[in-house]
Amino acid sequence: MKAPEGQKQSKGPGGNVFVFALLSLASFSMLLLSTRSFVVDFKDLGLSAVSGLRNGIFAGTSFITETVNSIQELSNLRKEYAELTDRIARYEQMERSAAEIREENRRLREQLEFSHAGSYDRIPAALIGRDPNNLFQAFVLNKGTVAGVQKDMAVIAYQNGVEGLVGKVIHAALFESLVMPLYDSSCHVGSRFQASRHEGIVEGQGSFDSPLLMRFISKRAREEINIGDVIISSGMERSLYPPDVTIGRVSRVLDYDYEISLSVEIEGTIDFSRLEYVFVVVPKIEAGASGLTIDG
Amino acid sequence: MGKNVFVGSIFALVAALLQSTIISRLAMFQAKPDFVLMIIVFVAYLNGTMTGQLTGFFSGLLLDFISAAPIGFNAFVCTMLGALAGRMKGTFFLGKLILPMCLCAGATLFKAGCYALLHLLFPAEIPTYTVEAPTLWVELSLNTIIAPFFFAFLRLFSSLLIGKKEN
Repeated sequence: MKAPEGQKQSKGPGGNVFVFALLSLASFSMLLLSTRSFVVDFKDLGLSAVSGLRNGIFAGTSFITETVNSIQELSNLRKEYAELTDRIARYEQMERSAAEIREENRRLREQLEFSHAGSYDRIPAALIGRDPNNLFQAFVLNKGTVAGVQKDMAVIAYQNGVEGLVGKVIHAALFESLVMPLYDSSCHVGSRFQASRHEGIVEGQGSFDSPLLMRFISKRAREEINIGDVIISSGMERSLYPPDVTIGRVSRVLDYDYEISLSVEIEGTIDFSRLEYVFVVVPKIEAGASGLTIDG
Repeated sequence: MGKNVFVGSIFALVAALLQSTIISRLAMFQAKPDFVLMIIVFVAYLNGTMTGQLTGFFSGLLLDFISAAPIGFNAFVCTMLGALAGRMKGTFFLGKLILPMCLCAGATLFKAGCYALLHLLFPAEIPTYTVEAPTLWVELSLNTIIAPFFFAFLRLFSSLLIGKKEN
């Protein structure tokens, strides 16, 4: 197995070592600077340069799979058409009563001045990829600054009829953006119990299989916390995230004597393994709002 | 050498984009094979230290741009990988099965070691593999199994990826 001597690399220690030291120093310096957020623009510039390529790959593969699937769907559609025609007749009857309920609901909301509808614009986006590195959890969206997406915007999604929090935009390039999901260990969200209104901070544990963790809950809240309680974003002033977006339900209460606050494990509302489409939330800019945020 | 570094880096960019899109759908336990690592090892082992470390640096930098990793993270790790694999050039004949598997398995473990080292220095920004989680072991297995086939594929582009003897 030994190679002949002639094939051995002639070691020119000077040049190789000098270049190695130079490259190591350059990459380490960039790492040092980027972790202190000095070269954010440089990162965005690089991401912009290759943005759109993933979108192209996604579009290509989607076209092929959708074409194949559409043939099968066509036969299913015929059957469903007949069923749906029957259903429409029933729904028309239900619609009349639903319209009455909607009208009553609208009037009640007006009286309570409680409507949040229209507080935020939403940019629809498709999830076109994930981080190429196994240890980083970021998602890639097919919308970037051209579509109005900016860094630090919140991202939400609808699953099973529920609006759930997905994460936040961490890098926005021209045609795509990177989203840090809720289960990333460096994601922190100001949150509260929907019923008891006690507050805490929700953070991820690095994997979508692991439950989310809500920490720093007052010990006095112990009696009011139950398994299955709904956790929502608090949306306090200067928060990145809009208020009242569902995060998940309490699955376990962690009450240790040696800790000064409670923690609870949360089963997330969003199933990240089958997430396809999301909405980027464009915050309403209010006069006098400062740039400081309470979320991470 | 310049051509090999350029082509190797472009191959790595394409591999990273595929890892990010198509291959990420096939991930097991959040782990997918690291084709960028395999390209760097292939180019470095067959060309030597200089080409290896330059290919590693530029491939890593491109990977940093499309990833959530801080700039310089992948550039640093891939430079180390390229330099190490390049140092081993000519030690053994690169066969079709055993050596590609051993090289990629070793490179995956070396990469995990680099991550652990950087995690110590930047604990808040850089995650690391944990021994009890399956991610590292699944990635190690995938890289080891796929290496012979991927190296055979890369040999089809020998004229672009392998240059003349390095000084």
